[in-house]
Parts: sequence; structure tokens; C-alpha cells
Amino acid sequence: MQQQQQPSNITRRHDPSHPHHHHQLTEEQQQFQLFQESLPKINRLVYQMLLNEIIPTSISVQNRLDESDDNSDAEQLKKLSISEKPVVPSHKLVSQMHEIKNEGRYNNILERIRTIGFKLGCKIADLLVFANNPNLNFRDMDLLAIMKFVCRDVWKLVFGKQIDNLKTNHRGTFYLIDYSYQPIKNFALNDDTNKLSAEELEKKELKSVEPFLELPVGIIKGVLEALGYNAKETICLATYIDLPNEDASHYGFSKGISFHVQVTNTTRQQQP
Amino acid sequence: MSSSAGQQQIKTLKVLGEDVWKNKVEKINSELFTLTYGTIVSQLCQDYDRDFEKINDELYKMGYNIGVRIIEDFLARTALPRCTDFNTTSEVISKVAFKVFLNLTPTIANWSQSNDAFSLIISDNPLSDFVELPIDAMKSLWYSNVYCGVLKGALEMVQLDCDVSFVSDILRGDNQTELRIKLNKVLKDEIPVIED
Amino acid sequence: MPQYFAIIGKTDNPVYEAQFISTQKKDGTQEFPSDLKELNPFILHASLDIVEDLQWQMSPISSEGNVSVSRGGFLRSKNASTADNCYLGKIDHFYGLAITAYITYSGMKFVMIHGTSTNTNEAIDDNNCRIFYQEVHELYIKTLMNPFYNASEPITSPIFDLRVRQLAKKYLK
Repeated sequence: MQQQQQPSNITRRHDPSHPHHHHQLTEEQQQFQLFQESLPKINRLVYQMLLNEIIPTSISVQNRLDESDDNSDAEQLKKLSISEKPVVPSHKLVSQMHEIKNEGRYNNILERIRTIGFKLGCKIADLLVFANNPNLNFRDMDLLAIMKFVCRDVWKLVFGKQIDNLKTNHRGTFYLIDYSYQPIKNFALNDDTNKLSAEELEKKELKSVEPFLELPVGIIKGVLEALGYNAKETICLATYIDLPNEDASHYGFSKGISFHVQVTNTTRQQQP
Repeated sequence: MSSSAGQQQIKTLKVLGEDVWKNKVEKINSELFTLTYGTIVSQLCQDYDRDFEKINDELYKMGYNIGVRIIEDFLARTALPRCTDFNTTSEVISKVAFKVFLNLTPTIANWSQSNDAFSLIISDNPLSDFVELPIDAMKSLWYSNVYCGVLKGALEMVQLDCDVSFVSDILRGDNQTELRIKLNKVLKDEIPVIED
Repeated sequence: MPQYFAIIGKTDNPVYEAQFISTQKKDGTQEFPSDLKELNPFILHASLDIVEDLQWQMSPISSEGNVSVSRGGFLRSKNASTADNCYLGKIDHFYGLAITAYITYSGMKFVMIHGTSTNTNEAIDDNNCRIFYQEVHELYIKTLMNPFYNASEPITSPIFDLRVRQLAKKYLK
């Protein structure tokens, strides 16, 4: 595949379609900034925790749905005792993931997380479009501009940082690379049993973290859908990639994430 | 009502909450929070086929899991000592915790005779912006039930075993949103069991 | 003059419709003639093709400087310039009835048939019409944010309906 490397640092808006110079904001931009600052705010930590809780909650929902499927007779009984049950801690739920043998169950969980991401992506795009940010002109955006919008604005909004690197072949294939994907930044599994080799432990860890990658996959597809690229014609997959050497040493999750996006129909807003 | 949480102390807590919110907290637009929570609730409605009891329960569990962890950050950021009585606890929840996390200060009201239960009256609930409950949900869904779970989990981590539940919600057509916290017992001062 | 307003989804599915009847008594015919009333949905549908043609070839309408800027709604920023692109203005007419349209970025079409008043050749007040559409757009976005509303399903909220009618009363004559 022919790939052309985009300027690796896309965090600076130096292309002319995105006039954005901090030292000389236009009046419009200043107004927009003031307006944004005047909107009600909450603590980002709360948001991060809510976002991360989507994953164990999706697992918990699956457990409960399977429970009622398995023994619908005993459902009434279970219903009575459900409030008495202790809450399963999130990290327990998450570490269940790598033990799930039933592929259907596993996929249901991932699908649920993706769906939440998708809905969220649609709404975020609608909201951002409606916010009339003078730095963004959605009307003139082509697919590349939209992917840049995902990398900068959407990622910054949801995850508090931008995508580190965007690559494209200019024919509908994109790689969005995040070397420190925020929701899993501080993840590290402990070996409760002390029996696992380093390799096994890493395998287990990567498997447990996988569902966390489905949320942004859904978000990307949702944003694209809202901006005129049908989700059925978009493929998005997340894979682990090695960190660049200079980053590998610092403490945190051991892998970077590459989101591979392929838009099979690059014409915006196909009419039915 | 006991006044052991004296005026001076309340004022100090208020200043602390405002200071932490203003200076030590990274902020985001609450719209994003509202949307994300709404998306979760909407997915739960779909998954549980509008069985609102189950949804309440799931939101509560989700909150509990947030609560047991968010308390760490809270204690670290505010450096507050152990509360000496439940009155102080109520003030800390309203003026510091809600302030620091959601930039809200719910009103404390309806203390029980025996001083072991109080209500938080939440106005401008950021979770319920844009929300219109469908008729079938009006009677049974506690839309913001995640709050109850968060408080339950967080209080448990500071050795307070409480019942936390909603009494009323503007979304259901009630005239205010009221959340009740009742202290069952103070847990023995032992290292809480945190499974890893 | 009366108006027939509709929101049409991406697959030409109806999402919302309403007829606005003027309350000013002195103005003569206040309602669509009943035969026309039934035709309204069809007239609108026919004009959707035009909307779709215009959809992606629109050059941004230069904002004429003094377009009444927003009142700082909850979601809205202080500048309304980019939203101006959504307003397509008068796109078609049908036996003297003007049809205006507005399209959102996600491809929702807002379309309106403007009935004639006795005072014929009355031009459409583009400024007010645009504001009407923009405000309905804002209401629509808020509806989208309601977790109990599924995008592209018909909007049944009485509050939405009430607010749209209030806007019509305010901006449309």
C-alpha cells in the first residue's frame, strides 16, 4: 500500500484552511472562545471515569442478559435477590473479558460498546457543527479535513489530547495513531496468581484492554456518519502498535493504538 | 438540627470547594458529560428493553464503581480530615464534593429527627439537560441514579455505611430533585478490603 | 399567510410536520384551501430533489453583515455565519406558493411551503425565515441530545411542537 506520511505533527493548525494563530485571533474566534469559556463546566476527571465505566457496564449488562436467558425460570428468584448482590468491581468485570470463551458473548459486548461510541460520535459531531466554531468550515471539508477534525477536535474533546499521528494513502484509507490513548494510559494488570510469564501476562493485559478500543472505533464511525459518510461503508479497526523507542521507557501502558479507518465510498452523503 | 457544623466551618468548606474547583481542576464542557451519560442510559434502555428497574440498578452499580475510586482523588485534592459528625459530612458532600466534581452546590435539607439522614436538593442537574422522559419511564426510572451509586461507594470508602436513593426528580414532574442519604452505621475502622 | 413546515430525514422519511395558521384576522385567507392542504406533503416531496441537488454544491452564502446574530442560546456561539450556509432560501414554487428549504450538515431537510395571502406577490422575508429555520435547527439539535429520542424517528414531543409553533408565530407572517 502506498502511504504518504502527513506532516507528523498535526496538532498545529498550520494549513491555510484552518486559520488558527494564537497570537492573532480574529474577532470571531475571540468571541467563540469567550462563548466556549462561558458554557457550564464540570471536572474532566468525572468525565473520564464515566467514559471508562462504559466498558465494565457493557460487560455487566451482558452478564445479566445471559443470566436471564440461561434460566428464565429462575429469573423471578434472581430478581428478588439482585439488590442484595454486592456490586462487582469494574476491574473484575474487565478482567473477565479474556476468560470469555463464548465468541458470541464476547462480540455482543464489543458491539454494545461500539454502539455507545457510535451514538456518542453522532451527537458530538452534531454539537460541534452546531457550535459554529469559526475555525471549522464543515461545508468545505473533504474526507481528509474531516479526519483531521476527528484527530484534533473530537479527540481533544473526548480524550483530552489529540491523535499523535495521522497517515493516509489519499484514497480513503487512514491510520490514526495514538501513542498514549488516555482511557488506558494507567492500565497495568497485576498477576494475582504469580504464575504467569511476562509474555502471558502481557497477552492477558492486551486482551482485557481490547474492549476499551471499541469505544473510539464507534465514535469515529459516528462522527463520519453524522458528516455524511455512511457507517455501512466505513471500516474501522483498532490494533496495538509498538511505541516509538524514545517513548517506550516512560511509565504507562506498553502499547500505542492505531485506528485503521477505511472509507469505501469517499463521496460524501450518497443519496439513497 | 444540630449545629455542630458551625457557620465558620461551613464557610471554610465553601472556600475550599471553590478554591479547588477554580485552581486545581481540569474542566470540560458539561454538555459533553450530559451527552455521554444520555447515550449510556439510552443504550441501557435498549438492552434491558425498557425494564427501568434494571436500568436503575445498572446506573447505581456504575456509580458505585466510580465512587469507590473517585474518593481517592477527592481526598488527595482536598486534604480533608475525617469528618467528626454526619453534619460535617453533609456539608463536605454539598460544598466540596459536588462543587469540585460538578461545579454544583446542592442545598442540604430535611434532616431527620435523629440526625442520621438528610436530603440534597439538586438544581441545575447537568445530567438531565435536554432530557425528556418518555411516559413509561416517568414512574419508574431514576434517570440520575448514578449519583446514588457514586455517593454510596465513596461514603463506604470512608467507613460510612449509608442508604442513598432519590426521593423525587424534576424529570418525573416533581417540583424538585431530591436525593436522600441515610446513615446506617459507621463501619469499624479497618483497612477496607480492596481487591486488586 | 399560512405555512406548511416539515422535517424530512436522510432517507426522505418524515420526522415532523406542522401547519401554521396565522392568527391575524384581517389578512383574509388564513388557511390553505383544503384541496391544497392534502397536497402539501406531495409538493414538499417533489421539491426534495432540488434540495438534494443544492445540498453539496452550495457556495456559502455571504452573510450580509447584519444578519441578526444569535441571542447566545445554550448551544449556540455568538456567531451565526457558518449556519447561514444551511439556509437555501427559496428553492421552488408551485402555483404561486413559494417553497423554502434549509439543510443540516447531517442531511436533515427542513422544508416549508409558504401559502399566499390576499396580498399577492408578497416576498418572503428571508431574514426572518432564516432565523426561524436556525432556531428550529437548535430545537432539533436539543431533541437529538435527548437520550430517549432515536435519530430519524418522528418527533412526538409536545414541547418540541409547542416551541416550533411559538417560533412560527414570532418569525413568520
